[in-house]
Amino acid sequence: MEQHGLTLHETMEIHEMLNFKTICMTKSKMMQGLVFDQELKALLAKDVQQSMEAVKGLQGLLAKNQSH
Amino acid sequence: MDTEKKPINEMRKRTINDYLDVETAKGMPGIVDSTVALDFLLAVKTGIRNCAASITETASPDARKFLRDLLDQTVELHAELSELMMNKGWLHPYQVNEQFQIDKASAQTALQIAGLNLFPGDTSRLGTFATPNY
Repeated sequence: MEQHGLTLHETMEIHEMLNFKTICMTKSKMMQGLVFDQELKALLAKDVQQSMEAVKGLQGLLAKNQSH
Repeated sequence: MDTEKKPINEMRKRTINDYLDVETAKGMPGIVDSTVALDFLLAVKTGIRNCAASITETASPDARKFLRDLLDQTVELHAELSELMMNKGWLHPYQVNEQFQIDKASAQTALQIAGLNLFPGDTSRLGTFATPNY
């Protein structure tokens, strides 16, 4: 199939998602140092790991779009 | 999982006037953890909605695949988190009445904390950071 870049509205959505995931990642990282419960801390740590992957992926999508 | 139901509403009967009062600190870990967990849950829920809405604006297969995977992952995280919150006694989806009572008490405690002068004085702390141009 012919390879297109992202459409304008797609770019906006992906960008919004990037902002959202960035804030979530930052917040979960901060909260890790605040909570007492170690299971909750572990789940927050897992969220940070997943969010890191998500942010990198979103950055990749946006970067690929710019090169087109 | 054998988790003791923590009495997170224990301190909520009293009025908090002084945050340095030792009495006020009683039950604090439970309140902090349940509050952070609820904030986390709200973020996860918002993430799922955002993700689903984004998919409806998607045209490229790459972006769609990425968002679908992210959606799956977030739904999975939601399951894990809500289960943890149920085990800890912070979330009662099957006992709505109990949940309402807890939420009303939480709101009351939050109101009291919001009314405290928690950060008196200057909080800029700029002297402790390298901020030549701030």
